[in-house]
Amino acid sequence: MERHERDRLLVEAMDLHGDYLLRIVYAIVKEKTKAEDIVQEVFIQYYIHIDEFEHRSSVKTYLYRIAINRCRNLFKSWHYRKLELSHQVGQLLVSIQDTEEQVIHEESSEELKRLINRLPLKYKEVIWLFYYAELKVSEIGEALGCSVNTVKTRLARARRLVKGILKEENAVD
Amino acid sequence: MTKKVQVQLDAVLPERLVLEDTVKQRILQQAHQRLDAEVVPKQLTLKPLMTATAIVVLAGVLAVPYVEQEQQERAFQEALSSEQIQKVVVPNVAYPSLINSIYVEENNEVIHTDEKGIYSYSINDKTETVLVPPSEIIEFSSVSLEANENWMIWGNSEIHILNRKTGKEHVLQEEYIEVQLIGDQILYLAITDHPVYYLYNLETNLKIKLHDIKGNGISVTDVRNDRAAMVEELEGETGPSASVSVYNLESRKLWQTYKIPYESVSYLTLNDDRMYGQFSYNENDFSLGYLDLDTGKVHMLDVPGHSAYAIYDNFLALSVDKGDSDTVKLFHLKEDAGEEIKTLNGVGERLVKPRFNDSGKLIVNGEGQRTPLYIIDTQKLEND
Repeated sequence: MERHERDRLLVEAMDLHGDYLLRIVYAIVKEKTKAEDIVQEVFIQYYIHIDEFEHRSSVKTYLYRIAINRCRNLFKSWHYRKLELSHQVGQLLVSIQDTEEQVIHEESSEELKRLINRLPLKYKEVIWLFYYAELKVSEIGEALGCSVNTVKTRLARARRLVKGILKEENAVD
Repeated sequence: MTKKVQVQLDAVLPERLVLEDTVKQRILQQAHQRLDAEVVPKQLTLKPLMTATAIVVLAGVLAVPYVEQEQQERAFQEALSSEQIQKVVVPNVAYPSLINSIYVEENNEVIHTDEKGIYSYSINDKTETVLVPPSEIIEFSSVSLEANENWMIWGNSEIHILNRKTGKEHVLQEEYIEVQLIGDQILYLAITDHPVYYLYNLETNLKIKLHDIKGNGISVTDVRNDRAAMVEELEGETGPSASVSVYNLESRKLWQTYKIPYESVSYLTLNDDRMYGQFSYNENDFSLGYLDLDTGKVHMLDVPGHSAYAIYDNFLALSVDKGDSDTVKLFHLKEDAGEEIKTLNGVGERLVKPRFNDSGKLIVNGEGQRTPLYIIDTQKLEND
């Protein structure tokens, strides 16, 4: 592929998906610099392998798949974060009922932020990809490397974990 | 609803988190450098004598498959001319749209979306009609699209319904993660409070609760001949298992339940007395098999490894490895083993996304010139 065509496709992909990709990666890694590094690497990988892109998935799914893998690799290297996450996950899972009752009274974005941040990574991924990136369940399956069935299960469980918060009347039109 | 949830999620993020133009420029520069670094000059290391010998040996080895390939190409051309296989080119439609397109046999049309609107391409007239005009509000790339000759449904977290006969559209305000169009009804999994399957009559707007998901998992459902199968994962004292519920959609009553010793079953396909699926003990290890609805026993199929499958009666289409990529091959199932039907091998391009329609026609996308759709009449292939 000619370089100018390659450049055009990269710029187009960055314009179309760059902001959302950055926000979702930030939502997962919680550091702007790290998020920018990951997004940069995602687009560079896309640029280098553009010839091999077979359209088995959409460009959007392809970019999110690389981004999620990069996030996961980053988490693997952050032992302290993993430990912290495991601790939080344990707390979250044993106190779902408490959380559900609590959220009825605390429907602020701060509370949502706290709950979302405390979600296990696998649930956090599906919430952001489904609601924010607006990927289809099948596309999330491709991006995460798991079956549609698994995505649906995770999505339903994730919703239960933040039950009451992600609901219509609390949103701003 | 999704847009509203999006706003809530946006509030969780810092303000003005965007990919700045300066960052984009930096990415472009880095991309140039990295691409240049990856291009390594190829070195010719083969000596002429070795090359000549290799060519002679290769020519001998390759002669046999070449003859076979030529026969398969001829068989494919004959299948095209006898209309066992129909090749459809939808002009000026991007490939990503085509691989998600729907073939509606009754109207001989291909329904597709370009992220802005939804369109119908008439195969007979070679004309295109706008079904849903371009919109800035809904991104159609992220919707579930289902259609038949009378209805079209789409949406992401609310269900848009278009009566194609009257042109009237309405929205069903239900958050869902799965929907299927079955004649004049839809079967969808709502997740508002807890996961529930509802059957909704598009003519009467009557909604009937069909099945409560009580297990930890949520199934991919499939419908055929007025039966719907749903799978949920259960945690038991002896470990995880899967529960299969089969409903009669005419009577709207539970027809049969099965408990099987698998953690999950995904990609369900119902046939008359079988429920096919990918049966797995864990997320990464699965095998294609079926639950015999008469005996309740699970049997595995003896077929090649694959990344996707579609099945209708005794016809099985698999996406199987081919070199560094893959392609679709068609098999005839005999005594739980696949016997290859080689007609498709002569197509000369990569085939993807196998799916059968309700009458048993196999639809696949080609990745060759003009990215055609192939519609394969399996009944004609069988009778040939």
